[in-house]
Amino acid sequence: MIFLWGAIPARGGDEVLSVDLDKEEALLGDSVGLTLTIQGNPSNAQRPLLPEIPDFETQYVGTSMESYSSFTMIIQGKKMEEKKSGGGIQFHYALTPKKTGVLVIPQFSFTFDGKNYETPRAYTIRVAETLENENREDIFLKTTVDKNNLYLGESALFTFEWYFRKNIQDYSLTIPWLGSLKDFLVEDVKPEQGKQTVDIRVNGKDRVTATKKSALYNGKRYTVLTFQKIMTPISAGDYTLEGSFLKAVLLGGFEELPQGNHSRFFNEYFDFDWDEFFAGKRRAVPESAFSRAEPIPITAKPLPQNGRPANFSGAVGSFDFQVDVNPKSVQRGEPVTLTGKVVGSGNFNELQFPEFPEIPDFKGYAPETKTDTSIADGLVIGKKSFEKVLVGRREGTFGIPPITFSYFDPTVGEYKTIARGPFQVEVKPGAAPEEPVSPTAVSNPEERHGKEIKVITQDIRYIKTEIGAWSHPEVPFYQKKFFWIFGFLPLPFLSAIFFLIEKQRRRFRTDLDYARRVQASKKAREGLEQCERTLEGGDGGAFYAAASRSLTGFLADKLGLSPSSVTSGLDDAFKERKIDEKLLADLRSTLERLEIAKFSGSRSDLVERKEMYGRVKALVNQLEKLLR
Amino acid sequence: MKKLLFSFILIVTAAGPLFALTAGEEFSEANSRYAEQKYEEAAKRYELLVKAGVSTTAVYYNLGNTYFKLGQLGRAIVSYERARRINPKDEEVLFNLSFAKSQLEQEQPKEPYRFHERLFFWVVDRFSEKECALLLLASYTLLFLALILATFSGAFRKRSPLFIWLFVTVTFLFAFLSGVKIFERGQGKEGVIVAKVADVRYSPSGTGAVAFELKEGIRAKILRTESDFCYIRLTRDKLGWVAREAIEEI
Repeated sequence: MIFLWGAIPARGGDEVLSVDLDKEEALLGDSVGLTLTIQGNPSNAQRPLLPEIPDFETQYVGTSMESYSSFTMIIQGKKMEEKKSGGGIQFHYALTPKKTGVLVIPQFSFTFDGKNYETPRAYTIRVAETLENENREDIFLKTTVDKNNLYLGESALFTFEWYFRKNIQDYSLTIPWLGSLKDFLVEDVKPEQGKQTVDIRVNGKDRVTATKKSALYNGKRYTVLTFQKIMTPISAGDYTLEGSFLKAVLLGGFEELPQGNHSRFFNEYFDFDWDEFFAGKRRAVPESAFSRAEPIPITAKPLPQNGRPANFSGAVGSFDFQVDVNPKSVQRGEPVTLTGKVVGSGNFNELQFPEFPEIPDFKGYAPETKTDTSIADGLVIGKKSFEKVLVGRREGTFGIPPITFSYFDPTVGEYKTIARGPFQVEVKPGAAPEEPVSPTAVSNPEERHGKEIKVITQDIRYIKTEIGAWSHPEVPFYQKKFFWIFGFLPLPFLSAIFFLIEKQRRRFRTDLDYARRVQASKKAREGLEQCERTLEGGDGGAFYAAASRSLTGFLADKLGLSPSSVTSGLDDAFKERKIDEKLLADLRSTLERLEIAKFSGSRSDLVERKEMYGRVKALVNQLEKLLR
Repeated sequence: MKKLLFSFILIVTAAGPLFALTAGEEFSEANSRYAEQKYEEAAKRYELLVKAGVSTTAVYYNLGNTYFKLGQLGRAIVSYERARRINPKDEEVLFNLSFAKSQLEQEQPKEPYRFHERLFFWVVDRFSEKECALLLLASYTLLFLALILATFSGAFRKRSPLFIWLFVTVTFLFAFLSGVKIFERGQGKEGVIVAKVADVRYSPSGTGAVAFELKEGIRAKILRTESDFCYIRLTRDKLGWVAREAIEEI
């Protein structure tokens, strides 16, 4: 690992930044690990957003915490260097080169936790399509797949073979698509027992176990590491699996060593007794080698629609289906075991066992299913078994209907259905009491299931044939202001109006003084209209009587007095209301004149009556305003 | 008038053999294609109806069925959800929506709600915004009618407290639910993942780090949209940016 340490103090804090790249040479398609470590006591802020780095695709990988302890160096009594104890936070990024050549990661800055940081310098990465020493004869990688054209659910066997003729320091391999291939299920094939195996590091973190053997290739003997993976497509499409590659350090040759300085280095790394072999006079010279396998195209085809059986549940492979009932003759109360199994090779993970029918004449117990799979000869082989215990309820001979299992056979490209049965079971008289076969006798819901309508397959319901009414898209009425304003505002006002009306009505009924006061003006006007009608008649007495009644009645109603006590009560009432005394005098004079004229009015002329009518009317109008 | 308008829209916008068909005729044509299992053609015709503004429960429901048959589970769910918005009580829509959701490869993430929160959302989900508004108006009107009747009728006034309290309670309930619905409307729109697999990233960029993956048919709230990415929220702790073409608004 290249450790490129650049410490840049952050403004206003103790935090320092270090930059770490895991390699300075990379292949196209490979990625370079970039780690930014911010030491000190950064808070748990959001990760920094890096600027775009030309020629690289940047992907955030994760965050980790780092801790370190204090370190102080004292030389000749002087403190030379000090680090505080504490921790830091590390942000990991994967930089994937977009092209070959010497690519530059420029000096860049970013913000973290409100502070600015800058990398100490630019870095260069050498990116090549192939590395030196590629495709050597003494070390190379071969990948093969047994079939490139697959149906969904059909498995292919992917084989990795690593040939070499020299000792290798570290078994390490890069499989670019492993872990990122979402459209395939990938399963490891375990090496056969008893074979010599070695562990290979894959993509820097995972390990696979490979068998180690010796084999002849092009007339030369090689050591071959082999491992396999089974790949099952789950989405249809054309895929290209990028070529896997390896970069190995191996023994390139030997050089003479000065006495006493030999082999220690190599003994540390190689599992080979160099001392014994070279008698301590020479040193091994390491060299790197590189090999890349060819990309592999794979086509995953969807399963055909034609001929798909109704009970097909996704099984793809080559299967056999067996069903058995044992024993076929029992006494009542004794169990009968219904067993079924699907055996063969294929996608057992997706395989659904066919449903066994409920048999009303038998008491059924919960079924048990079991799946066993293994990998042999590059195929997932296995067995899925089913077992259900039945107990006869009554005597007789009963039939168990046929049971069918459908699967798709990719070797011939068609669906196949296997039917087993029907089976006959005889139930003889036994010690157990006979159970009636009626819904009331079946207490277990599972047992009652046979009596209910059974859903065979599930699907969506069919399309509608009536289009229905529609409106062109617009804002719905309940989202418009008018709905809320005109729907909700008028009602409180209306209610308030009705309430006030009813309150008024009730007061009229219960408060007579109030009712008289409110109606006084109306009555006075009616009286004045009567005066007007009698004004020009010959009977002056009738006019004056009507005018007197109107004025007296108006005053009585307004002041809450009886008509006879109006004259005596005027003084107090006017004083109480602080009404002008001149008006009181005028009123008194008018009332007196009217009293006199009631009896002598027949002698009065029209001018006089008109003047009196006007005076009474003016007084009523004036008092209406003052006596509200 | 609507039919004439629709015919005009079809003449102007339709491509291919679609001439001045009425909405009903176009709908029947699409249904025929569906029955003949020509699902792609049926989908085009239903989509044309939707584009022309013929947005009925039946059109969206049938379009949902068509996408389901085409294996486009995400688009099927979007169409069923649109049909449900128009008619939340349609049993066929609810059944097919539920069935389509049962086929999802990934489980819909759920907020870790407590009991009272689950109860609250259960009640909120029983009613559409339109139903809340109409039921609020109805209970509010009945409340004031009861008040007016109690004002004038002594006989009713004796029994009125029961009615008035009932209408006050119902009015407050639907006023609250309407408020919740309006608030929800302001909180962004619902969307469904229509891509087979969609990467949800930490930033609105194709190079942003992938936070998690969503499979087709998963429902999410679209909080905002920036350039070619939508900021979505599944639960309180699952948020991120997804490519705009990978999600379709309901």
